[in-house]
Amino acid sequence: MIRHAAFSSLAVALSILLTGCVSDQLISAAGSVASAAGVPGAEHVGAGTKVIQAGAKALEDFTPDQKHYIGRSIAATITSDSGVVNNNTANMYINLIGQTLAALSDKPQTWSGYHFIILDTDEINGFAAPGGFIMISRGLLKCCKSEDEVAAVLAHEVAHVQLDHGMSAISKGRKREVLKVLAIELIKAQASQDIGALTGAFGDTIADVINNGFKNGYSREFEATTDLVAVDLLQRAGYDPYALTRVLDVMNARYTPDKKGFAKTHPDPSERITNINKSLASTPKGSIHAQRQARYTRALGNL
Amino acid sequence: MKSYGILGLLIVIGITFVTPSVHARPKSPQYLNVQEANLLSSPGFGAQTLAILRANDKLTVLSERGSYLQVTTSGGKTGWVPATSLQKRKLDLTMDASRATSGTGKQELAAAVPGFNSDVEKKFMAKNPKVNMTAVDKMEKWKITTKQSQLFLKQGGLTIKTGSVK
Repeated sequence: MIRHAAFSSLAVALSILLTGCVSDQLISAAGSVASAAGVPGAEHVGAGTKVIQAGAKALEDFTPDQKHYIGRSIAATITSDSGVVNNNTANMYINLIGQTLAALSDKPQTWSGYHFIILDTDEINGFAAPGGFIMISRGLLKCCKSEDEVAAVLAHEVAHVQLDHGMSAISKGRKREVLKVLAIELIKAQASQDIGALTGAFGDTIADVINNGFKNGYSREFEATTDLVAVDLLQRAGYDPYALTRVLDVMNARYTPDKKGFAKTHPDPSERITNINKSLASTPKGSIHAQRQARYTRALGNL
Repeated sequence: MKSYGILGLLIVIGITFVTPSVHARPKSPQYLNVQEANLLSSPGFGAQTLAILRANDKLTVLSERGSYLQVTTSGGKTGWVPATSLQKRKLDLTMDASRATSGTGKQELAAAVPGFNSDVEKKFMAKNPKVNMTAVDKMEKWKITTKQSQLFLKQGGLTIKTGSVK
């Protein structure tokens, strides 16, 4: 019980650390709490301070390697549910487009790189999990009639990764709690390798991103910002930036205001088209390129 | 004479805003926050690889150009890396519990940092038997090299926009 109370105090101390700079006084105070909690080595000031500093650092944010594991499990949950298209030519083609676009973006690298796969569903959806695991449904690819339009869809998802939208799908309360668990478990692990609480926190994080990001979609503001980053990325690679508006035109024709299908996860496409057109005011439209069209048909023609 | 002056001013403004400018930065150490990265000969896509960097490699930042930083490695090599692949704080790389407990010394145990890692992933999978990693493991193996990207762009008649390093 005393041990439990001590850990609660530690959590409070670490919560204070989360709200501001990690001052020497706070580290010292947290060190005293850790010592009271029976953390091995905490009685020695140096070791105790090191432990608390590590705990305080764990509270700041998820690290890129942790985002990688969060992204893996989210992608596994979605791909296990939808199934994936087992067509290597098609998957390699979207990886060629997607990874090339990612390399030209402002965030060209994630912990293990960007990876793309086609979901075996006719629903219109795409999702970028943290760490760069990007899933595009067959239904969404069928809305695309050219490589430039496929690139537009993939650029939009790369932009979500660049803007870290996947992690923002974790509610603020959940994030605070999970980071707290990570910090406390880090300190407790000096004595034990029990990772039960971590597993629970991990599962809650995955559920938050899937429910808030994948099933319910991002806000109108997030989608608008993401579209503009995507358009810029398309221009960097030499693709026609208007390709994104053409995909949105197809989606618009299928949009039902009853919030079913992709309408549940995405704002009205017509608003997004207006937003993009405004940003491209003086940009000339591109034309269909024969070689690109031929390889697009070869790779995705039989999807 | 006056028109030359205006022309000169316009050229200076053009260079300032069209070409990403290089800013000297106070020399400060930063750490690589991705598993692996190339140390590039110049900022941006397609530059020559000078060395392979690993997570937590300590790098001294010399200057910045757009979204890239010029750095020096502890071995003395100088090159460029994306700014988003560096951070001021060294990562407490999470370590699998199996590796942590295999050490006999207390020091090694103390160095183990628990977090969201493959051990937690395994426990998560055990609790969710309908979820499997097959597709994710497969997609992680699909890696496109810079050369493949360059060829893909060329064959598709795509030209990278000049000055796209922002």
